[in-house]
Amino acid sequence: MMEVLTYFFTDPIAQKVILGVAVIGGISGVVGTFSFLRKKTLIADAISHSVLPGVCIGFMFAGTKDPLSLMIGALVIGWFSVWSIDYISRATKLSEDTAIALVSTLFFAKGSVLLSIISKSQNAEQSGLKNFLFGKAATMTSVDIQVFIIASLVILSLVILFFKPFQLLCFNSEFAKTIGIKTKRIEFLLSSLTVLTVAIGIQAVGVVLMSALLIAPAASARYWTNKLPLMLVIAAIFGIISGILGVVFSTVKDNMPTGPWIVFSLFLFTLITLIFAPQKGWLSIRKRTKTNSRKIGEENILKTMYQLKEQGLEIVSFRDFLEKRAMDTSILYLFFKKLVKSGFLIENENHFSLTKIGETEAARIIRSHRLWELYLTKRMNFKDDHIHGTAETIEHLITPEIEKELLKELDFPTSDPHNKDIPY
Amino acid sequence: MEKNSIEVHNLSVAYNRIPVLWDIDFELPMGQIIGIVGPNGSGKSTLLKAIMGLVPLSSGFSKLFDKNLDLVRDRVAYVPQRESVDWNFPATVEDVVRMGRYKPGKLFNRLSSIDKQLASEAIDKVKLTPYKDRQISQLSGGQQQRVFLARALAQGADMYVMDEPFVGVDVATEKTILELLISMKNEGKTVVIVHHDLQTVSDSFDYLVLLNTRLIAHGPTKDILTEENLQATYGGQLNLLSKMQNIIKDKDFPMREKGFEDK
Amino acid sequence: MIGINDFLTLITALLIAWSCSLLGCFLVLRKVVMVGDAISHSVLPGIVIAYLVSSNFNSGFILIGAAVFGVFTTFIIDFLHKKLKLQEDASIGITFTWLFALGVILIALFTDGNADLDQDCVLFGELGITFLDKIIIDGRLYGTRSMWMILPVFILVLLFVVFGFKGLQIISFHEEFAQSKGINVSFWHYVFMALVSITTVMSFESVGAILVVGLLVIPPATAYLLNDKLIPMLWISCLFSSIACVTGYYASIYFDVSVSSMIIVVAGCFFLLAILYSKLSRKKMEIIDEKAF
Repeated sequence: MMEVLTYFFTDPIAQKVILGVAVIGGISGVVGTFSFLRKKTLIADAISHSVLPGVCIGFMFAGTKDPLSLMIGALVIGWFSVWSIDYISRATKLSEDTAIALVSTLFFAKGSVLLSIISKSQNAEQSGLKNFLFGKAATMTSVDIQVFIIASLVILSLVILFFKPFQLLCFNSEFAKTIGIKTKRIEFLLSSLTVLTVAIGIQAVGVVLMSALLIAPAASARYWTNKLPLMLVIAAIFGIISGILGVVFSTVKDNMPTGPWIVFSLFLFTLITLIFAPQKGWLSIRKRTKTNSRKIGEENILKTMYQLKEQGLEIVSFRDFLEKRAMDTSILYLFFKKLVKSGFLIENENHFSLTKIGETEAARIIRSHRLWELYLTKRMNFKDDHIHGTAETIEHLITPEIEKELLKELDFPTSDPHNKDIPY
Repeated sequence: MEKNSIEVHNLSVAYNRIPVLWDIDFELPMGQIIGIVGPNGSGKSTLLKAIMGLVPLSSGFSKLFDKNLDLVRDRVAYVPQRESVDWNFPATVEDVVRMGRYKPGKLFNRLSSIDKQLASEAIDKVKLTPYKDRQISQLSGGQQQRVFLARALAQGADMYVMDEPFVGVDVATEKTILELLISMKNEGKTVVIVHHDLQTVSDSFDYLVLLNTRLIAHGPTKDILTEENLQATYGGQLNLLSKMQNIIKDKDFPMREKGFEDK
Repeated sequence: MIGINDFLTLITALLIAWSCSLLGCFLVLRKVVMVGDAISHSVLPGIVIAYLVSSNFNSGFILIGAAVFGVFTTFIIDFLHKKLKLQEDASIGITFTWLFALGVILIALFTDGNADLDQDCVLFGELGITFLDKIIIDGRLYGTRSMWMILPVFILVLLFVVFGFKGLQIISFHEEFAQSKGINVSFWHYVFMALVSITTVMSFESVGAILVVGLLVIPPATAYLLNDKLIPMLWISCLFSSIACVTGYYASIYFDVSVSSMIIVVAGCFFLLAILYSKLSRKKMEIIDEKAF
């Protein structure tokens, strides 16, 4: 294992490959973020497929596998494919997804025909096809990498230069138009950046998987932040690391294409994101659900203890409690223990009673419940017999600020719709 | 005879974790023309979709003809909003109206001649017979609405639930629809219509439900159309209610505690 | 002059084309073409696993693997979009790319460049050589292996479209309405996508992954542009794909290029003509309308 890693960091060829892939990964993350926010990621997929004829035409004009002419060919045909999709979905009754698939396959088929023609002729460079389709980072030359770096720098500077218009276009294109931004030109610029990114990215991951490079880092970054600049950085980082990891993984066997392994690494990041992201990740949601359940359970216990006290029962056993309020017995004990630990209850040989602060807290909850019931009847026209259910839920959510507002709104009432006292 | 056409109890629906319908509770009478009215975003369409089982409920239930929807589906005809369809779809007026006769268990059978006749009669009732072979993309907005109506009529239901049937229709269509509603009522059918604007057709509704995320009022039209009710419906959202909606969303809070029974 | 080999190849191509055209019409009308595109890529791991399990292509395992992965793909896309609230295009894009990557990795890891599951072949198919695999019993020719594999799929698709016509029609036109009537839209959707998967897989060998999508989209889109009735649309779609197959086949021989690519290119030409026609007739309609007022 160690030798593999040292190989990667010392061997000049390996360094080149890693540099190339890192650049591609990073720039795809950045450009992909804009595609993602504009919900145009599948168009990028079509662009990837249409690059094939572009590269062929470039090759046919130049006569050699000169990266610059290939890229120009790719760019031109890439633009054309974006325009075609737009035209078809705008000017006919066909929907955008139909247009995307259509352009995608048609261009690719044309490219495949051109490729057959090319491979018949003298230049035997066509064995690059497989690498073109699936990506073979190992075939990148120094010249290729130089071109990537230059292209990436161009893209990055354009992104920085046009950041504000890009941002507006992503989040509020209507507004952008009204303040005089020429949205058509900005869109054209963004599409061009995407086409350029695709043209260089295909070298690493190939046609089919290029979409992944544009979608996955952006989609994952979205879960970690709402701010665009941060999102761009995170997406770039995900892209870079996935690229490098992909190359490392692909050495596990001879002659493996890098593309799928890069996608595999991207997928790992997406998975990690879906699980661990704050707020929207699965673990975070689960934690919130648990916290909510706990809060509900504990507060319901305090409430019930208070009600029992109102009825004269101050020292409560489990049986007493369950008679007053049915609750899930498996967690009941845990909640009671928690409440004792927090100082809201005192325990004495499996009998519990409210402490001073327990009583205050219970009173607060009941007050919230009854205030909300009043609000429902007075302001929301609810009938008396329909308020209890919703108040049972809302009582747990009423913050001190909301309580203040309720009291002001209802003019410091003393009793609730059922004529029970409101404890203060 | 059933007691209520529709009964809704403690119904709440959340969309993206925000409650858009909050503890809705009402019973609707049979055989009347009922309007569900409220401002944009008040949850009117969502309420219809909840009753028709198209969106999940966060709490509560709804009943039609005192029964669960699944038991009475063939007695209810749903007319969604006109924009819910791509009108470029290759179909004629007759094709669409005949779809009203499709039944879940019988999709693999051919339509009978009775089915086809009922469809023809429905097309006639909405005055579209000259257009029955016309491709639907060539129809005006009002004509398209009438196609939907004919499709519902072809179902031969006892209750018609319509989502904004008067949006963007011409005067002639509006008249046709109103006439149809009255004749349906005379046949004892119940009609429930979501409508966005009180000015235009409030004379035609016997019974109203005023909605603004929560229920404002419901009852016979003349009793309900008070200044106070209208202010509550159209005067913006309650401040505290909005705040609570946001708190519920932020905390991902369930709208009903688990294991809590609504009596 | 049609030689016997030409004939065999063409029959195979036609059966695939018809299956794709019929299903493709509904993909276009329901606006779920990209889901179909995704499935055509994501069935790859299913094929590889089936191949590894049964060591050949002739077994029903392949079909099962395809259907399973097709349904799985549909499910994942739905899950990402509806449960995890990921936007639809990203749900589709992420799902098919990682499944396809998985397939490629499996191929590279386990097959050592074995000719049967060659990556090029999977992507492009080799329609041109299917005639080599003839089935000869008692000295009489009974078609080729590919032909007999695709025939049942075509029959299945045909039966589904014919008998399930009303279901497909109502769900494609107005899903909400269909659901309100108690029709199980989900079920229809999954069955439909399973058929798309099976068709895709059966076509892999002949037309290849990337170009199956072409047959699924281009003839139906062409037919849709030219006509506004559903049943004629199905017929016209099959007609165009048939012409594309025959013309494309002979053109590919003449130009000495891959058959499947040429078929798609020809289909594309028809599509372009259809756009031209619909634009021109639209202009004519506008002029007539203006005159009418």
